[in-house]
Formats: sequence, C-alpha cells, structure tokens
Amino acid sequence: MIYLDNAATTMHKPQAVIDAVVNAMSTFGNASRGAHEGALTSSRVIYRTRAKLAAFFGCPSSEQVIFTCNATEALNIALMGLFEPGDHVISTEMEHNSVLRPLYRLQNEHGVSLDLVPADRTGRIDPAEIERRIRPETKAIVCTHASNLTGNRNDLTRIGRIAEDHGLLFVVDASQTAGAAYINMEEMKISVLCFTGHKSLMGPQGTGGLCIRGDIPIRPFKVGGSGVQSFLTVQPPEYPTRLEAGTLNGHGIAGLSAAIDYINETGREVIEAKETALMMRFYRGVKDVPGVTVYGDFSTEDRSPVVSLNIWDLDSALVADELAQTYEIATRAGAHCAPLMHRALGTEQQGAVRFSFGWFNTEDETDRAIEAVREIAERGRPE
Amino acid sequence: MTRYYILFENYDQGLALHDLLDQEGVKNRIAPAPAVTHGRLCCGMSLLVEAGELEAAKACIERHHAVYFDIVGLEDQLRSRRDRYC
Repeated sequence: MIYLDNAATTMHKPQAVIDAVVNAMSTFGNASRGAHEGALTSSRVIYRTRAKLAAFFGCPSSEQVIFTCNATEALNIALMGLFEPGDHVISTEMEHNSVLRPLYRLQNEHGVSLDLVPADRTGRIDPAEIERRIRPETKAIVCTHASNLTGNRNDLTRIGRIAEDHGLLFVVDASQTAGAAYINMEEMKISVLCFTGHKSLMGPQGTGGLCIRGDIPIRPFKVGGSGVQSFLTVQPPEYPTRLEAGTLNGHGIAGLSAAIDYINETGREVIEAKETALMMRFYRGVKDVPGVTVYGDFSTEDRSPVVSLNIWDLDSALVADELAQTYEIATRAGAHCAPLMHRALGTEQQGAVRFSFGWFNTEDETDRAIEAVREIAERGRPE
Repeated sequence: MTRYYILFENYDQGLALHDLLDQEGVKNRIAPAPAVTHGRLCCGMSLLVEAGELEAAKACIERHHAVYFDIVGLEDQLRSRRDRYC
C-alpha cells in the first residue's frame, strides 16, 4: 500500500519508536506512583520527555508541558479551562472540529461569545480580520497553525503579535504541524500550544499534550488520582499534576520520546524539506490534469504537505475507494472534520480527496499517485 | 540516626532536583515521601539525603532556585538487620 494519509496519522513509525514502546511495556511501573525502580523508570522517561518537548517547542517551563491522549483532549482542556461567561473569543473558519466544537459548546452552554474569521476561496484568512474583531471583552485568539484540508499555514508570528499587542491569550492548534514545522512559543507569543504525538511527531497514537507559556491558570478538565497529595480534596494546583489526573500513557510517551530523538537526529528541517518537495511534486503533477481541481493556496511552499483535490464532479469517497482498491493508495475523502473550510471552498456536497505526505514516502510513490489521478480523471471524463 | 527528606508537591519538582544533586555529586536517593510530617504530601516522592550531605543539598537548591516543599528530619524507625552481614 502507498500510504498518503499522513495528515490523519503517520502510519509508518521510526523503528526506535516501536522499540521504545515495546521496551516500556515490560519495564514501566506507574509514573508518579511510588519510588520503586519500575515507577521511577516511567517517571524519569516522562519527566525527560517533558523537557524534550519544551525545548522542541520553545516552551520556557517543562513542568508546564501537559500530557493528554491527543490534540482534541488538549484543546478541550485549554478551551474549557480558560474562559468565563462574558468572555469573547476569536477563531477562524480554517479550524478542525476539535477546535470548533469546544468553542460552540462554550458559546451555547457557557455564555462565551465567538467570532469566526472567514476564509477566502483558497481557504486562507487575513490576520487583519482577526484584529478588526477585537472587543474590550475579547480574551483570546484561537487558531490552527495549518489547515488539515488545504495545508495552508497561518502566520503565527503575526497573529501572536496581534495577541500580545492587545493583551490576549493566543491558543494554537498545532495538530498538522507539530514535529515538522518550526514552532517557538516564545518567539510566536503562543500562550497555549496544543499538539498531537501521532502525526508529524511520528509517535504513537494516544499521545499528545499542551504546552503553557507563563502564568496561565487553566482550570482542571478532569480531577482524580495524582499520585501525590492524596488528602487534598481538590486536584493539586501545581503543573503538571493540575491537569493530569489519572495514569498517563507511559508506554506511548516512551515512544513519543524516541520519536523526538529521531526528529532531532534526522533534522526537523530535513524532514520538512522532503515532505514539502513530495507535496510540490505531486501538486505540479496533477494541477493541470483535465478535470482535476486542487484546493488551497500553492503560491507559497510554507505550507503543510497536503494536497486536496476533486476529479470532475465525482464523489470524493468513490475516488478514494478507487485509489485504494485499484491502485492501493490510501487517502482520505469526505469532509475531514473541517465543515467551515469545505463551505468556504464550495466542496460541502462533493467533499475532497486529501493526499498527505510524510517522511517515509518516496518520489516513486508520489509519481504512482500522480499517474493514478491521471487515469481516474481520464476514466471519469464526462461523456 | 536522622535521615533527611526533601519533600515536593509533585514528581516533576522532585526529579528536577534529583538531576541537579546528581550533577553536583550530592548523594541522594529517591524515596517515598514519609507520611508523618506533612500528611498532605504522602504518596509522593522525596529525596533522601544523609546528614553529611544536607548542607550541600541546601546550597544546591539555593544556587539553582530549585522548587521544593520542605526538608524534614526523621529518625530511623527500623532496627538494622543485625544478622545481615553475618
């Protein structure tokens, strides 16, 4: 199978990640529970992984790196824990449902008002439109680093400057970029960075987290066992315990730790350059094929390695199925949990077929995918 | 003999100081936090240092502004195993 669904998850992992998980499964006790060797082995790995992530993302305080199951959980913790009734939040139409649904919930159930900056026909937003919507009661800007549908990235440095100039929190969903794209919370003035471990970071599923910059007290989303301060009737207030009730996914975090090592050893820039080159190779190979419509802005290569397209008016699910069944190419069809982006692109009915590239893809695989698109376009040409 | 326990509010604080003490060659060992001094910290971890290392540990804490909750001294509650080395 040619795996081109890396925006959903990177299916192929570095061997070191697999080895780390397997090793952890026979050596890890429960982290932060006890002081015997098993408990300390997992505690140490988790402690060091926080430090690696803090360094990787430019988060000043490693104890403010919080582990979660995925980016969705991280976003829920951040968004449900930051806002009060009467607060106003600005977000964008580029968002995934992992941002939109918590924000709608805050709007519908918690008295938070919401403004969504519209995306243009290429799926991009204008940061000036964010600034234009700031009101006295605005508390935060919440936005994705890159669209999971078009791959276009937001200019975090510019948006972060807007947030800082107006004294706002800046919450970033880095699901599509963490691991491959440059992110520095200090430089970009990011208050809370939410990430997943199983996409560009190439770690195991069930890993993710949020990094918190500075003194930002987020209310605990869940409370319970912490391994410390058992007689407190509330969740201990110190980070990371404050937001980490229950046993962590130590085995997964061991894999994530190995994944960060792999990226650092390989070079994040090297990985990003290869993925970008494959994406642009594919884009150039399909953009002029009769019947093919490619979505998003390709005028810049500062984008995530995603190419979404449609062929004639064929149902995107049928195209993805044909790619899988006849060409053994794995892609993702449908709405990609990004309803507002599909509305902006005019693809609500048809959906789109997303090709997303990863570190383990090759030029040969990319060329075979181009050829498959050409053949399907020819076979699907209207009579 | 009195043993000294450095107490923390969570494992991350404790592991951070453990690294610093190790780097500076101050003998210490991770141990379960004793329950009798600050009950609310029980279940957590502590760093156990012998009396002779206590001042070095305090100096290390001060130099690095390391976060900790308290330092408590406790008498050994177990008799040593007299037959152990026989």
